[in-house]
Amino acid sequence: MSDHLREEDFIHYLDGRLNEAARARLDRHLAACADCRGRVDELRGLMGVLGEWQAAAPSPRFDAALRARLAEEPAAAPWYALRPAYAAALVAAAAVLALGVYLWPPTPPDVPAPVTQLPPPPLTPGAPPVVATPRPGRPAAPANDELAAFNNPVLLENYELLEEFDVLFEPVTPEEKKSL
Amino acid sequence: METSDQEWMLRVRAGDREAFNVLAAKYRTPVVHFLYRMVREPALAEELAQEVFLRIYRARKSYRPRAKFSTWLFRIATNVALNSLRDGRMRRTLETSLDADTGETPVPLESVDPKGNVEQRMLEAERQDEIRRAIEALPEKQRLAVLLHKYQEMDYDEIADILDCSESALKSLLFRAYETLRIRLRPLLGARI
Repeated sequence: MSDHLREEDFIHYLDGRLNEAARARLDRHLAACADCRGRVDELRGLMGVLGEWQAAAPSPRFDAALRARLAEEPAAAPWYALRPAYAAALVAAAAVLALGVYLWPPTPPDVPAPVTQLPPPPLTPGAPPVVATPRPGRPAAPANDELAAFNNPVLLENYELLEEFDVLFEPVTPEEKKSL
Repeated sequence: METSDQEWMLRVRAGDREAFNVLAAKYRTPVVHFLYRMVREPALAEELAQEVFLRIYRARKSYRPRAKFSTWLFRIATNVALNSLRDGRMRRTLETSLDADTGETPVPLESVDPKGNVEQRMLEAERQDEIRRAIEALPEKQRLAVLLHKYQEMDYDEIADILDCSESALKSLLFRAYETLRIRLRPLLGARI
């Protein structure tokens, strides 16, 4: 037989979604074709069998549980859930603001950075602060020069020069001087 | 005039939480049934159904009434179910627990006839297990198509939309699925209870 039911016809036939004319045409075919009739009968039986599979109904707690979870939801959507256009505008505004903060105020030109001079560390823990004083008979050097001497590594390494200042707590004996 | 699902959902979008309760009350049973048939465990099906409704609620601001509400709802339910099944498969692969799920379908309360005898109930449970196993053995897309067509009684255009395929592809999918089931469940066809 040439006009057997197509796949679609079987599905529509089982669903009962055929119009009068289509249904009449298929019925005529089924009356004459045992193969198609057998398949339709089995598929119809299958639909009945599938209907036996029952599903568990929602428990009585379902609504209360859902309400409780809904209550935990924020009333308004977070900022990232905004419409894309709004979110993009927000991000662009933030970027412009950040750029403005970065560029303003401009750094003034030719202004040297302030120099901080720290006092020298004590030579002996717990010792009183050392005050460098020139030897008697010598012209007094400006106070800041003496302080600068403590921060001058070249000077500190030169014992002959350092000797000009009373920076040592104890006088150096000739033996000690020789060992240096 | 009856308020449509889309109108209810537009009210939800405007901030009406009662409107959401109306939709949840209307669809909780179909969604739980669908998810139960997908994941088999009643407690998990309920948890997933709540997840579906929460997702709907969270997405309320972006809702556009382009498609039917139920299409949107079941598309989310399908994704949630498939994710859960994939997670579950991964868990089972990792776990070596001896108290794993036996795979048997619990007898739903609504199908238990208090007057029926134990033997009858066991027979029914056995048949339901066979049907479940046959449907579960179908490829994923065919299984979803059968659940949405046979058990949710959805229209072809809606199912095609959910499964992201054409209507003709869906009908072919359904035909192949029913043909497979017809052969697998043939022993049950002649012995309807």
